[in-house]
Amino acid sequence: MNARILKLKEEILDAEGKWGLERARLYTQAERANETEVAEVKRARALAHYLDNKTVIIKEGELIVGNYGSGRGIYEIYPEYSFQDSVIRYIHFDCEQEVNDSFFETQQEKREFNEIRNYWRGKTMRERVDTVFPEYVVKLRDLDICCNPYGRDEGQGHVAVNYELVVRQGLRSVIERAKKRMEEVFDHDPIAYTFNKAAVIALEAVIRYAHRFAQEAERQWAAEKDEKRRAELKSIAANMRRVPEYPAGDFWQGCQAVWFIHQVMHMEQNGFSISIGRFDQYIYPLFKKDVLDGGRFTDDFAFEILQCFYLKFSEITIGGIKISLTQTVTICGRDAGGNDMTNELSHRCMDASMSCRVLNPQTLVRWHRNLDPAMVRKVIEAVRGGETHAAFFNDEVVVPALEKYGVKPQDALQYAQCGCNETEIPGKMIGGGMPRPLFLLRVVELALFGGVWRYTGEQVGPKTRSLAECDTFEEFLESYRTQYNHFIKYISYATNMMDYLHSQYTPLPFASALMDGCIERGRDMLVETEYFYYTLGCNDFIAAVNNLAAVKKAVFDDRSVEASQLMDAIENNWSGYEHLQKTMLATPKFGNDDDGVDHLVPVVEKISAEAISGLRSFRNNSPWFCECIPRISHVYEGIVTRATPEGRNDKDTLPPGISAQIGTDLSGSTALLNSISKLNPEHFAGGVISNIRFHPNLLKDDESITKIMALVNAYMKKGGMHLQMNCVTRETLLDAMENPSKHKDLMVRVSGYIDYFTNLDRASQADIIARTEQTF
Amino acid sequence: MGERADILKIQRFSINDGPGIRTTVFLKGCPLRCAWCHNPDSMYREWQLVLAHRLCTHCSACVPACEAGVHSVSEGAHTVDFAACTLCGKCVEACPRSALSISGRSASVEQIIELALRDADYYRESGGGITLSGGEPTMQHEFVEALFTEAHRVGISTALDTSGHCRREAFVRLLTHTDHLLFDLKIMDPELHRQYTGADNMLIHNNFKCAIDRGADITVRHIVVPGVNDTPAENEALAAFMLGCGFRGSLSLLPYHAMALSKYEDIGMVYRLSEVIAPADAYMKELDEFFNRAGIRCRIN
Repeated sequence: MNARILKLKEEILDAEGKWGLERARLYTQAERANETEVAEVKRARALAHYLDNKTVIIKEGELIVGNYGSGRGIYEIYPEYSFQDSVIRYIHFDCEQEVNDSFFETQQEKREFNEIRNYWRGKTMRERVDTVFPEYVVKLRDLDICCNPYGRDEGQGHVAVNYELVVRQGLRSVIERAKKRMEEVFDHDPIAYTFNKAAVIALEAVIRYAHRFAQEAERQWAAEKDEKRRAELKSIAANMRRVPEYPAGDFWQGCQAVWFIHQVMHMEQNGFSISIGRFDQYIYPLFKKDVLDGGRFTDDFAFEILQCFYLKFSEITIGGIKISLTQTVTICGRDAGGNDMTNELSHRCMDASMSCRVLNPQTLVRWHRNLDPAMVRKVIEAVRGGETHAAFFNDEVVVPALEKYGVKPQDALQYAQCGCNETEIPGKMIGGGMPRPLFLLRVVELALFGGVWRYTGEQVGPKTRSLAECDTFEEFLESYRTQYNHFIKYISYATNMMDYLHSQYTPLPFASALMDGCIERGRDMLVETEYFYYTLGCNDFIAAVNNLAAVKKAVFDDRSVEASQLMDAIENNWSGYEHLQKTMLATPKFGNDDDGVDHLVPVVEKISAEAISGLRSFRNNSPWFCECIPRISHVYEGIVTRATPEGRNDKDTLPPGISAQIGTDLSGSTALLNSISKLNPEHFAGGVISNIRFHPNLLKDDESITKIMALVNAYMKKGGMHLQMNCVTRETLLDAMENPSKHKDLMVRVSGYIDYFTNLDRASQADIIARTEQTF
Repeated sequence: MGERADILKIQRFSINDGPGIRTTVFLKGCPLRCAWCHNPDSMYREWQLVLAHRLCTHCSACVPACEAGVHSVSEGAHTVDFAACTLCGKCVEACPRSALSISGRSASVEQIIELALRDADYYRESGGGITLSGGEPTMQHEFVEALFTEAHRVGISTALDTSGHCRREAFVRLLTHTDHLLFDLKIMDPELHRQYTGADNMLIHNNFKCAIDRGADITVRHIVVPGVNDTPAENEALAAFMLGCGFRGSLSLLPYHAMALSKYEDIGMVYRLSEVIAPADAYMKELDEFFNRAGIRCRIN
């Protein structure tokens, strides 16, 4: 890595996080000045006021400019959404901590913060939601059963706008369209007129904001001694006079335009999982012209531009400095004829991701059977190198699933990933935005206790037969289904209501202007978009499957365990029931290709799929998808969940997404992937996460990598939807020495063969750890 | 069909036991007693009680469960009278920590084929299949033959991981069912071979020649054990022998490691090589170069 990139990276990683007031101050000023305006215009003016006055920084050596906040590591406040401490929330899932004046050092800052806070009291999205939601829905949310609307504290996020439009046509052309539309609808469509007026205000402001960077570059140029840097600053100034207002003239300007729009996306709202779509496709013509054919930029310089571009994503500090905001770059994929769309830029993107090795952005590779094998190999090598979030998504599964839900074939082919693997279509689709999960383990718990909340004794769900009252497993499954179906209505209510509140109070005129058709329709994207979809998050899916299977085997099939005894045991965290725990732990677990448990995968899935088939939505009457994307909810859900029948202890982590419970997939990677393949991805068009982890020495030579490539290809050909591979770190191995039961599935390569790490004695483990350090 | 074997374990997703992704079945029982054996519970075909000392909390739950009085726990030490064990399994059931287990189970051809077929997609993609390892799989050669015949019938490729210490007649018959042979050559000097493995290497060498003459696809595996077979004389003899037989396959060098030490304790056996330390990476590289120079395709595994 060259000195420039290294320095920029260190600056980002070494930043100390701290709260800032700039955005809150400027947004409050704008809000006060525009109180009588309609929401769209108010929001556009606030963004404009912010962009006209916010701090503009060009860092030494930067090639791509546009700073997110007011300085290094500053957390901006989004008062229109909430004052909750997003940093704490993203890390610890503690939603109750509010930012207060103690977060600021000087008396002046404290005073200013308090003024701002007081002004917004009663006007934040959080407070609006809390006012609107009925008591029972609030209870379900507080108990973490469902209706936990992420949108309470933040914006929609989860979108990739039409970046290609920005690169190829520029904002000026969008403004012209919006102005024309204003004239057309002036006399009869006040909503469309107002929306377009807001869009023009926002887009003009973004252009002025770009020009502020041109001025700053010119200022630095005048003072700069170094000839090389002077030339760069001159180019930066020229870039900022041109993009994003006009079409990008070269590769550098293309990257610059994308970044500029992407950072403003994060200024208009604090939603996460805002992604840049199929970057390697829409930038490729410029890359080909300027780097491959023209020689306008050397390959090395083009790569520096790309690295600078990649590093910028980590500047966005919503949620903290070192939190992945799941901003995703999607690369590769196939066209309508099944041809591979991988190009030289796709490879350079993966190279940039590997060399920068920062949490943001994550790179997602669209797999299909003609995918360039060199790309598959590159991803696996990246995994070996410690890249923790390179992942594959399967075109052959995702495209048909989208088509099934009514997406036009040519649009389905353009899908990209947003965030933790939600499927979106850049410029055309939003959805899964504020996923409202139903925590399936909660449903199991309620079924076990007949609808009574085991933590308080309240009857929270409908009264159904408890485990002890069921004579057959089918009866128990019926209790589960009844509980499940009961909550669906409330999830649908919360979802639709949340979308309505956002469209009323926090419309997104800037982002909307860059979504296809919003200008013509004259409606904010939160109201109308080409495609919406809603997701029912099936969090804890595998935990539910494992628990149902454990109960089925021990209580009903073998009749070796009394239901009442099992209930006592889990209420006492197995204390005094160690033997019973051993029995329950020995029941089949998902991830071992064991039909004794895997046969319940389609059963549990069907209950979810049937439940959502009857759901409606007020936006386009759009479909609902299931998804299983836990982010890290499986960790915090685990912490608050008491012991469960499959043998789990109080507080233990739950299995993430469609992955095995840690330490229970003991039959090798093929068995794990076979288990995962039993899920019907058509039901999970919203996305799933499946994780598989390796020790880096499993990938130590070309031959091993070739075998892992075959593993990936075979799994995908079988219809796997997603695959994320991880290499374990030294910390994990150290933890595995101390807590072997949590890492029983961790495979390592001992010279010449693979063994489970926890099977080795301590000395051998220490040896492996020592070797791991060499590998990294 | 109908053949059953005594096995140690079945390992899916084996990527170091022959071409591609494989399912490896470890059969119990071996005629050799290699001092560095890393699966000591595979030496005997008889099933055995195993106490994983690292998991034992000395709770004594096993003591009353055993009618034969195999277990005694005192002052933080759990001792096992392995000879007295009748393999009734009661202590295994009683142990809350799963520290006790029985090494050995019976598996049929059908069971193994059924399991292997589950990974057929991965075999196809990677050129993999079933590997029989051990122990010494040829000790249960009737089973091997039955399994490999059935594997071929259902389109699964076969590999045999053997020391070559096997009667010629049976060995030859197995060759006709084996797509890939993993052949372990341990020590060239006959006397040293006897000393460290308990058997002469004449039969092994003859079988090796025989396999080459019959055109078998062979990978030689050679564990480099410092102080035992890492002398220049041994290395030269190994290279000369392989070349002399007309060997054209590849050689896989495996550095010795002492990671099996605790496995010996767990079944009440004594590990003879506790003083030996793993060969240095530099030496392995040197050796790799030596064999490659000699004209043998070699890699460190």
